[in-house]
Amino acid sequence: MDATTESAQLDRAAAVDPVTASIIRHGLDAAADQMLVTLKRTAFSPIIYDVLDGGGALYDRRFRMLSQIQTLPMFTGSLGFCVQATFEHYATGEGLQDGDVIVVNDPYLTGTHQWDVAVIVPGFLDGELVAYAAIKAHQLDVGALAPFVSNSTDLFQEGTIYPGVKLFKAGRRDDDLYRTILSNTRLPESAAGDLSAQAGACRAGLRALLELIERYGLEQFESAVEVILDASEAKMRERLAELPPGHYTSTMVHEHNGLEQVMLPFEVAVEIADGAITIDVTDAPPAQPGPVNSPRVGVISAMRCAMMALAIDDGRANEGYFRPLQLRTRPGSMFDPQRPAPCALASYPMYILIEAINEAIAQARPEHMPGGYDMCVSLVMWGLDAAGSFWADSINVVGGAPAAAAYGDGGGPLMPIGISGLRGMSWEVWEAKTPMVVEQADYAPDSAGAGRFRGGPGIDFVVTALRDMELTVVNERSQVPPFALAGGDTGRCNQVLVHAPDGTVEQHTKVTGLHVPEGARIEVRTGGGAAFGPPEQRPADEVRADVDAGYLTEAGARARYPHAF
Amino acid sequence: MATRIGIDVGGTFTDLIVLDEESGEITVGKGPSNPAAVDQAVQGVLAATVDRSAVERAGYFLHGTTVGLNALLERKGARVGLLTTEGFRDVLEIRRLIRVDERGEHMWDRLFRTPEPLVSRSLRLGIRERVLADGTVRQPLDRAGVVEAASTFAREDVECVAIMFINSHANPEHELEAAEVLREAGFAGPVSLSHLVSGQYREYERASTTVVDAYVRPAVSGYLERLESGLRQEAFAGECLITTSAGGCLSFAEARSRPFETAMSGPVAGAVGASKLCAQLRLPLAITADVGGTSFDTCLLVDGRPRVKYEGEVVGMPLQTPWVDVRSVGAGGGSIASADRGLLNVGPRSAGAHPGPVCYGRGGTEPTVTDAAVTLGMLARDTLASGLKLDIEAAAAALARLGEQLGLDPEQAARGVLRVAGATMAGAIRAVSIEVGEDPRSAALIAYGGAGPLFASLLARELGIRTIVIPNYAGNFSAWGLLEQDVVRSAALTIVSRLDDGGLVRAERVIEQLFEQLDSRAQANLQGTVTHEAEFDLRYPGQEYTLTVPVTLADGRIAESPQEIAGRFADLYERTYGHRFDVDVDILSVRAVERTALPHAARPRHSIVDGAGRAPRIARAYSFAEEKWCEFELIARESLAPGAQFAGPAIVMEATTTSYIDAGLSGTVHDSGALILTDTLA
Repeated sequence: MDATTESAQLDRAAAVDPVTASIIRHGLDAAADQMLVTLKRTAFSPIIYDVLDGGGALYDRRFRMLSQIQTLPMFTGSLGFCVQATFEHYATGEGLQDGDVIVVNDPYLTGTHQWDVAVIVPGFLDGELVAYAAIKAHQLDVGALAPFVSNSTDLFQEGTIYPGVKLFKAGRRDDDLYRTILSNTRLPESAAGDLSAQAGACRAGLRALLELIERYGLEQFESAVEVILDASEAKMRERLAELPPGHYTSTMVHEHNGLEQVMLPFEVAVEIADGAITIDVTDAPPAQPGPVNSPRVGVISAMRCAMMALAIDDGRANEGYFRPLQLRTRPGSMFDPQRPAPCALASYPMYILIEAINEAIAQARPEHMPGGYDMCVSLVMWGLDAAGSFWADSINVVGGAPAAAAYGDGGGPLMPIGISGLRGMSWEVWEAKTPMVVEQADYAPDSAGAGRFRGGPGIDFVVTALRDMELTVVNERSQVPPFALAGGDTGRCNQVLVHAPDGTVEQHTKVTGLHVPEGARIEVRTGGGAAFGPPEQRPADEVRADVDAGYLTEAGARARYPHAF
Repeated sequence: MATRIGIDVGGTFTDLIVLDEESGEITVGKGPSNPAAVDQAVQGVLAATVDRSAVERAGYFLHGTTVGLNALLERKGARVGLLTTEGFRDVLEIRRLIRVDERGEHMWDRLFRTPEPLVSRSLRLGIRERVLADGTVRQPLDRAGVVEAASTFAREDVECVAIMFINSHANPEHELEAAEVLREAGFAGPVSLSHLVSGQYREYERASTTVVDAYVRPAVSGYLERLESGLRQEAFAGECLITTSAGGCLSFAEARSRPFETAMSGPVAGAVGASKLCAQLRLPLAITADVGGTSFDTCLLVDGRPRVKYEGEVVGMPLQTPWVDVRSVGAGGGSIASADRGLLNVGPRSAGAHPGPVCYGRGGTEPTVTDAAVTLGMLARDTLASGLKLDIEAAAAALARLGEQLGLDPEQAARGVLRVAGATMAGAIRAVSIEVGEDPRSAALIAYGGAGPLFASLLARELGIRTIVIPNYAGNFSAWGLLEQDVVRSAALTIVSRLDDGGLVRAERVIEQLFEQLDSRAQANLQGTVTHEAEFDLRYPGQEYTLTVPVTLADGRIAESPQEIAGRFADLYERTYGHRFDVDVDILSVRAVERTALPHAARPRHSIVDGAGRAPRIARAYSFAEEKWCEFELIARESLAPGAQFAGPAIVMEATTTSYIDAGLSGTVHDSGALILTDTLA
């Protein structure tokens, strides 16, 4: 530690005592909770209120994340850049004012795609800009060429772009912009309701945060923030120091670029040294003509998410945890595309990147990690209801089979860590509002990877269309299953099939606007979790118990575990 | 000469309170809980405290218990078989893929695995049948499949069966028919039907509730049966009632057929007691602060009614049932303080009863909240009511070790522990109030539980609250809350209908059916005024979360227009979320509530020990208001007669709790015996 940092820390210590800093930390988390409660209860889209496809956080005036809402980890690691870009844009002009509400969905600022609309509200105390609240949430339609697309070739086909514009100026709504936003979506009521919920939730969080700052004074508050972030940084460094220093790599494959089936292997290199970690993705394939490009700020967020899962046992993410993390990208690659490269499926390569980081770390410490997760399959459907009104809805995730770990079998299906706060659909709620019947949503026998500890089973999901509709499918991991550890087998791959009423069957990995006639069935077979350890080490009684319970068929068990018979 | 007996079973203690309904005389008792034989502990404390004649004369035995919850926590429930619609056999295990629970836990837990479902897969059977969302039958019930299931269940020694068919809220025929076929096929055990257990949509949550109902049934039912027969042997001739999660009570007979309703009754009785206190003191807005050994429980009361939610989770399992919204955080007297990279953590780890705080001298080494309070003189004593001598020096030494790690002296560390614990509690209070649009500053704080009155001053300052109420028997307040409950029975159904004339016609029909359903349940013959109430769960179309609005009934008919009901919904929405929309409103669910008020008991009479002649005693303790050590007046609670006045700094002592009343607070004693403290500085 050099003399300057040491004296800076002494100053901080002088400005705030550990008790007050601890109380302020509670206050930050409580303020974030208030954002989430308000968002959930006032949002109009089920994808926000029920599935919780949104993330949010509070930031200080230096754009550092103070606390986040407990929903989507992969969303919040990038929002700080978005807040900073907004501030910098206005800094050269009119500036930010109390009562402003800014809307941003430019993927190169938010890190994902235009459907994820960020709302940012600056917080003022006595006329001074002291904090921000930001919430990014998935909206059902932003005026792309279809409600959801998997085959776009540039950003402009993926919906209207809001580069960070003021929907409210000093508390007054800009009706011209508002009408423009609502004119650029197929679902204006839902967009209006969700934007209002996001802004309301940001205000609720900021109100709590500003009360906290007012109570303790800006100086003491900011000193406490230093102490809190330093503590989190120390924790991350301790966790990294527990890993053997070294260079680890993992090679993963992205299978499809949205336009065609094309194998896109890439190597991720992980360098652990001196309580810090560098993730190098310079080996990534060039940016693709289809929408499987992940903007750099999103990739930073994915990396942060992967590392947070290693460092945090409890509590919330904040900027301190991020400090020891470095990312290297190659401009012009899939993980550092240049505008206007399309980004509609930006999250998918990011899920795979998180898996690659996990696999690399598992080489250092297999007992620290589970094997690979099944990735979600997304379906978006839309059409006209009996009254002729347009409807759209999505099944964001129907899979999520967890892998086994050194500690035991993979259990029931779970949201992957990157989207850990999401919840699956309730099928009764879904049937009450869409013209579909769910025929099946059950475990698939023989779908899990075999091993000493088996993976979690995949799901067979079948839905029948009661009216004509259109369908967009996004499905990765249809050929390369999630990785296994310590000699375990991998599970089955994802598969999406559409059964036409005449009995013909088509398989799809990525398709946009597929016509699904009344009476057709959509079948999703989600992948199974990977196993840990070789199958021949699984005790025979555990194999037989799985047969009795129907996780394995008799034939499947004989093929995977011959030693048990 | 009737009496009324209340017994509340907590994790550590079983609390008893007996009220003589005519004289108003109160008797309290306390004994250790015994999770292995709860009913024996209950009868033990009863026998130790009052004589047989008090039991003989009792009109009501009111009870709060954790038996149902324990069965869930310890996984000691029935062997349950589950019938679902074919294709949904794994609904209980797929659990909507939920990783993060309602408290935000497991967000980053990369090794998290789902809890084992209460029903193993080989006992979860799919039956061919299908009802659509509008109630039409798409596929008739496969009766042969049910017969086959019955033989599987017989072979596997299944004790209870739960049936959850998709969309049964819209048409329950198949669930009823399947139950009938099971009976015909010879299954004689209890059957839980999802449409009767919950009636609300969301198949995973409804299945979970129905299975919990089946799972805890033998434990709860057997327990209530044993307890009641034990009481009858003592010549008890009155009515046995048990508290539900909704904050009313049910007859034992009805609870045995709907055991899930009692699962979360633990912290509820205190909230009900607080509700009665609000009525007596005319408090429009109040917040409870119930501080025990390991947790802090808080609940918001608006117009004297505790906030009720209609879904929650118990150990990761959702339950669809009305549920007093008591929020719990891990901060209590036994919570452990530790240094964490320059910050101070208090809880959620607790020293519990063993080893307990350092000052108990039972081997505890990590400083707890109680240790901090003791070193600051806030308890003003060196022995507990049980006779245990407190080791204040050991507590101070533990705090000195903590302080060293943080660069604080022992006293700063002790103050810090209380302030951080207080901030955790205040955070929970802010959450429950701000979530529903209320400002805690305009509320009164009702403090009870062993350590609630110790924290009341700190919490009120932290939150800007100006009025504190410390009720009678604050240390046994949960048992006290049992005594004046209403019997509340309810049933709900999801209908998803527009709130217009047509919707009201439909809702009215459903309300009538729900009251018929209530009449058909096992129940007690109670004296008392019966009122029928109806509630709608309303939402804006497209939204999912609902707000519950009471609807006026007159002779079973809805006596309001759709516009009036919609107007009240919009008012409540605006009060809660700060804005309203000018669009239609949907009815999601309809609820019928039957409330029977038990006859009023006499006001309790308090025996006052005349303290006038006694010289005031003084103790030195740290004052958070003055930020220095001060002289606190020591007051015996039993010396405080209604109308008496006193002022902080003072410490009020009673057998089961200690009230720390900081400088700047002035107190009066209400007719009920409650202490009302007012902040003269705020």
